[in-house]
Amino acid sequence: MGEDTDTRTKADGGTAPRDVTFEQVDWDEIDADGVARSRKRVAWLAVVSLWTIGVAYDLYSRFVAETGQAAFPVLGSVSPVDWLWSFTLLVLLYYGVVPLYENPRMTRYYWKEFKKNKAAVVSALYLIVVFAIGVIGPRVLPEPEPTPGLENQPPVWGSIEAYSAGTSCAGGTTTVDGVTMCQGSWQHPFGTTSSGEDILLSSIYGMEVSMQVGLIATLMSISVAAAVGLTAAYYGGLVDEVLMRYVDIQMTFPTFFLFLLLAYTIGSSLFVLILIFGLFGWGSSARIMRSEALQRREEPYMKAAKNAGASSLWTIRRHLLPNISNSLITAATLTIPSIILAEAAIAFLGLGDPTVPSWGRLISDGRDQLRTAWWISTIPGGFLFFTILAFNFLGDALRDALDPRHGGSGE
Amino acid sequence: MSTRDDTTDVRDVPTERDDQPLLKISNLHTYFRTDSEDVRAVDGVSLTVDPGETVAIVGESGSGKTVASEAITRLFKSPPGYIPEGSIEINGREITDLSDEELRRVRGGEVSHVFQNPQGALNPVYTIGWQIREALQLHADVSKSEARERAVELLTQVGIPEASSRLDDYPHEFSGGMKQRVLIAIALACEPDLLIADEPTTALDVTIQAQILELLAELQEQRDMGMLFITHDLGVVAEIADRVAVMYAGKIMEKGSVEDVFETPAHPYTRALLDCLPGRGGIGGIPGELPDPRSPPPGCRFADRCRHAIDACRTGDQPGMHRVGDAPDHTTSCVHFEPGRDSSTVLDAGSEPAGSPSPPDDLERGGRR
Amino acid sequence: MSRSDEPLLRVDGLKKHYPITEGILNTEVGRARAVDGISLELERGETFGIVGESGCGKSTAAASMVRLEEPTDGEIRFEGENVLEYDAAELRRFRREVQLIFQDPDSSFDPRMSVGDAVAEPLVVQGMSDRERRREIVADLLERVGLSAADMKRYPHEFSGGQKQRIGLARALTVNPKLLVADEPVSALDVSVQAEILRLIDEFQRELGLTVLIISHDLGVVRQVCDRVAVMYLGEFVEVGPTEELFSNPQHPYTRALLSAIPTPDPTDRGLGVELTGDVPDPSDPPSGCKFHTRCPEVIPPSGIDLSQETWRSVLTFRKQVERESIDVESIVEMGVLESGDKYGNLEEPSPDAIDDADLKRWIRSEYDVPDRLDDPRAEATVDDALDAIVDGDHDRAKAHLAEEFTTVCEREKPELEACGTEQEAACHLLDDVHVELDELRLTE
Repeated sequence: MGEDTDTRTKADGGTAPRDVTFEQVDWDEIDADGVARSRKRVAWLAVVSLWTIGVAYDLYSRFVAETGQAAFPVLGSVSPVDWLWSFTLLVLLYYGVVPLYENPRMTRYYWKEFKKNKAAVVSALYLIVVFAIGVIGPRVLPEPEPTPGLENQPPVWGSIEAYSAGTSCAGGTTTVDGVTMCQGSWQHPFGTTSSGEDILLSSIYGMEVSMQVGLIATLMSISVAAAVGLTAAYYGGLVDEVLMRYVDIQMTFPTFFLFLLLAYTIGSSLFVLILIFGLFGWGSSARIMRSEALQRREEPYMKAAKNAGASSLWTIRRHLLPNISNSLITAATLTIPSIILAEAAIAFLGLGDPTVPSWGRLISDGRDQLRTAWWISTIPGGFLFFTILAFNFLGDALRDALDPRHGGSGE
Repeated sequence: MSTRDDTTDVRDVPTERDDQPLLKISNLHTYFRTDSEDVRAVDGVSLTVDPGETVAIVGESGSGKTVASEAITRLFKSPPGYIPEGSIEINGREITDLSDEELRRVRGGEVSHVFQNPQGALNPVYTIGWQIREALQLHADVSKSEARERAVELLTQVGIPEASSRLDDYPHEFSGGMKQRVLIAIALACEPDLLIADEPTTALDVTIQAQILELLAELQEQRDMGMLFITHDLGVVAEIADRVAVMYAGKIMEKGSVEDVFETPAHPYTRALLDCLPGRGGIGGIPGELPDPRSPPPGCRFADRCRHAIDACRTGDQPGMHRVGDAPDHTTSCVHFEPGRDSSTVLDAGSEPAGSPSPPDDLERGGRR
Repeated sequence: MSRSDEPLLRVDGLKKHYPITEGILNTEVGRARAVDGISLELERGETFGIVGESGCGKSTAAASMVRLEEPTDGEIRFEGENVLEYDAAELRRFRREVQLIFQDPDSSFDPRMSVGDAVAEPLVVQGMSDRERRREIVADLLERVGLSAADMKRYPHEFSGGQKQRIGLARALTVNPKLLVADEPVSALDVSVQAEILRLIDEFQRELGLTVLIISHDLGVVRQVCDRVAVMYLGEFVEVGPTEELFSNPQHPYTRALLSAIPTPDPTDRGLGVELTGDVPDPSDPPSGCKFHTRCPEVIPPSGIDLSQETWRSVLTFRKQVERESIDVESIVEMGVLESGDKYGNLEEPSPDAIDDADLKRWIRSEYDVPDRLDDPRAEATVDDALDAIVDGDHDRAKAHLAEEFTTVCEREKPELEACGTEQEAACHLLDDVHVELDELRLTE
């Protein structure tokens, strides 16, 4: 770290004075200038505007013009869940990936800290794989279709008594102790369900569903929670009182039952499920963030921001929010798995949209045949299990790694 | 009190210590394990405290003075802290190798602590009376009513008016100064031979500080108790101490009687520190930063910031303790005081005049890692 | 806009009270008078200090003066403009003129913001959108406070306390303020670092012609850097004056007590002036008259009573205890019995009834350090009567007796700041030589 000490000339004799110093700023001129935004910000606003226009057009053709789903060039028609999903991915990109790219020193530091937790690194790799397959897979792979005749096919390394499987066997048959066994094949590496759907394909589609549900609903939930929690803590008094009493009321009504209620009245779909969990499940997160923000609000650096002339919004966004990010990440890592689990549970109980290839539905499909065709439930169950576990490990590690106060002086 | 009583009457010979001091620390090291190298908080400290005597350790933050005082009864968090070498004797008994159980009997028995922050040191959910009784009953088998009586007595001694009616009050009903008095009462509960006071007045206002210092001096005289006083404030040292040890970066830079050290400060660090006091020298401070406690530089720890540093200061170990002038007890760890060198380069240098000619560029940033 | 004949900042009768509320309806049950009417004028380029013990309201005063807290009452004029009438945009512009340095270098920086961003923050919120220009300004400033431009990318925890305070100074200077308010700028630092920071502030002040307001509990710091000093006690200024005059010739007993309590770094000069007993009273229930009279070592006795100051002080303390009905006869008896040895040694249950009245009175006297016999017969008679009443259990009568005889001008009337030197002012009845005559006048009328 020697290079930084003398990048500037500090020659013995007369040093040329810096041309830009704080004394030379003409503030009246700056006051006269309007607000200028950085290029990055402009790009972001443009993307968000595009997205908004798309949604508006889609809504228009659905409900006003009543011409059905709007068809877009390249994209074709976009489902409501896909609208949310694309926005979620954009937000993750802009607020997650871009800052890391822009700030390589911090990124290296985070990575160094994060690397210390081996379980978390494995978890992150696993989640990246699941996420990538979940995002790309359904775009390129055919949808899993029930295939009569190929029911209950075993995975490639397994076998099943032929009478339990469908009429044909993809991997041929063998005879063991006088029983005809149906062998697995690479055609269906993880076997098929009792309706003959390919389990690998279904699991891949299930990845998308789980990621969509987990990430979209969590993003919604955490955003609302942060907005409510921070506003309540920052302004205090009546604002705090009203918001928190509303949270109390909302929390008397379990999200799960709210979903059931709506599923009966307007029909259950993945979109409704995501909305319900995203918009009504944030109560406890908001409480956690509020209590954290209450402590942070009293820190002298909040006063320092005020002293600089910062507005409330600036102070909340630039100081309060980053400093409760520990709570935010904790809340998010609790929320993601719980929503994924809730979705799986709803699908398992048969209360969800039966056309959605969710892991929960697959598990439910196989529950009667655990003894004969164990893979139908356990393979998606395994994915579910490891996904939940990975999110928990990841959350723990992120919380430790993202705190710049830990560890020390960089290099 | 289990220790021998026959040693206490042969005191009061501050010059040569053939007889047994109350506390004798020799070559104490205390390190803290970290991911990389150990942090050497205390790196070879030797010190004695006699009964009835007040010894002050003075130093700035990061000097290791608090760790040194906590090492005596191993109060620091362990792990990561440990004592790699050194000996601590209390009334002639080595206590570095005591078990935790035995050490607990020493803490609060022969040795008591008073800490800096009176707010944090009292448990807010118990009454003052309860907390004093607890201190008493942990170390002696006393009945509840005896303990209560004793608690009233202690509170009265530390100058809390209407003591008996305040026993049932909770800590938040006391002011900061009063809380510190209560903590002193708790520390005195078991008649310690040695009281270790770690910045006991730093959190208090000057007027309250004056009250507490007076109280401590009074109590010490009554009980012929030894006191180890940790502080950063040279004014307080001059007020209360008999002898003083100046610490810097884990080492003792200078020690001696308060009169000698304030009269003839020898080590350049001590001199610089005294110059920082308002009205003593000038506005200026000591440029630079503490050395990295993980890998201290060779030679004198202060060499990087020292005005008098010569090549000899930057090699080998910290210089040994050399005598300053004729004072028997006044020693300093500075090469200029080695026999054969001219100590007057330091002693006659005088303090830097106010508003010294050093331009702002000279405010070196020190050895940050 | 700015009228040059105006002082930079003029504060008039500034008050900041915090309501104390109770219950779910938040009914106000009292007010903590943190700042209770202070006035001052800051001339351009001067360094003004406010000293006082913790809880005296000095930090609140500073925060209210620059409208980080909304004052309850009073007037603040910055370059002649009424600060309290500023709208949001004007207030933002005002923030450019006035900047703060905070006490705690550790917590006054957002731990998640790099130092460069923290120092640039005032520029950003004030509307400077040119990123490169901001970077240049910050780099220049960091170097001028003795750090390096490369430190911009680092985070606050990577710096020592002294370095952080330098950064704090840089942050305050970015917008080129006219007034710098430093709230305990060095009290969290080591002495060797303190001096460096003070020197740095001093250098910038000279270079930029800054006006500096320093809030500190440390009289040494204030003495070293300030041109004028105000001593604050319980929300009010008790003495204001040029530093040297105030320190060499303090007029208010509180200033004297504060000065005498500072330990000197001279082992031959031992013994602190422990003149002040007790603690600072609760600001929600401040004493009447002169707020310092409950601790004052120089309370003025009522005319006609001739007691030594020490005795008078003890009588006054005794009277306060009676007034608060906090004389605990039971525990006095308990202690008395313990100490008296044989006389009451066989008492099973020490109760006030079983004790000789004379003994009890003597014990009460000794509990409050009131001599067994006062020199002044009138005072002696009053104290004796009051003690009789207490022994009888009639606290009201005791109160009445004491109040009638021992009410001093200090608790009756609030002293105003009055000139007592060329530029020195103090608020103490000792300084008005007319109070005795006034008393007499009122009695005859």
